[in-house]
Amino acid sequence: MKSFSANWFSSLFIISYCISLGTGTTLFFYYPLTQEISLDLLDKSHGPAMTWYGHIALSFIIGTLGGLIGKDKWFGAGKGQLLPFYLTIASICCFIYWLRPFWG
Amino acid sequence: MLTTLIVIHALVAMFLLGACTHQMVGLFTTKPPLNPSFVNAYRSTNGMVFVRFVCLSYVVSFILGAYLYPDYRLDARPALEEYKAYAIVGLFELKEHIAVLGLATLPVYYQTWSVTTNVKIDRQKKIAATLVITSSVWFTLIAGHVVNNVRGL
Repeated sequence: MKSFSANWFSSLFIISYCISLGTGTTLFFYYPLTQEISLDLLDKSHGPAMTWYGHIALSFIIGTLGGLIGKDKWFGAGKGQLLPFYLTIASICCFIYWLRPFWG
Repeated sequence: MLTTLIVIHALVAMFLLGACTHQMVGLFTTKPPLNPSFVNAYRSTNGMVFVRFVCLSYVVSFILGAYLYPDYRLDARPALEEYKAYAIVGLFELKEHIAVLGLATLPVYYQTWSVTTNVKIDRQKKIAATLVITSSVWFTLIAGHVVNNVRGL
C-alpha cells in the first residue's frame, strides 16, 4: 500500500484553504438558523451563512488527494521539507491582512 | 448542555496546552538532566506518547469547537457586533483560521516525530512542527477566553 505523504497533505491543505478563503470559494454553505446545508447562497430568511465548514471540507479533499498522489521525496532532502511551515507563516500573514478591517 | 460543552472544550484545550508546551520545552533539551529539579523533571518527555496525546486532544478540541461554532455565530457574534466590538469578532475569525492551520499541520507533526531520515533536517522539522502546534494552541486558547469573557455563550 502506498504511503501517505504528510508534507503534500499539509502543503496543499494550507494552500487551498488560503485560496478558498481569499476567493470566497467554498464547497457548501451551512445555515445554522435553519440547520441547512446548501451549495448556493440562500436568501436572508435562512439566516447567516457559514462558509468555514465548506472551506475545511474543500481543503481536506484537495489535501488528501495530494497526500495520496504526491511523494515526500519530491520535497527534496533539505530545506524543501520545511515548506509546510513556510506556508503556515505566509498563511498567517494573509489572514491578518484580510482581517485587518476588523481592527482598523 | 452548551455550557458543559464549552467547559469541556476549554479543559481539553488546557490539557493540550500543557502537553505541547511540555514537549516544546523538552525539545530544546539535548543532554540528560544532571540533578533532580522541577525544571529538569519538566523538560523530560517521552516524544511519541506526547505526540499521540497532542494529536488526539487537538482533534477532539477542534471537533468540540466546530460543534459550538454555530451557537457562537447565532448568539454571541450578533451581540458583539451590536456592542461594536469588531476587534473581538476579528480575533475570533483569526482564531478559527489558526486552528485550521494547526489541524493541517498535525500529519506532518506526527510523521516528523515518528520517522527519522536526516538528523539535521528532522530536528528542524520537529522544532517547526511542534512550534506551529504549540503556537496555534496558545493563540486559540487565549483568543477563545478573551471572546468568551466579552460575550460568552
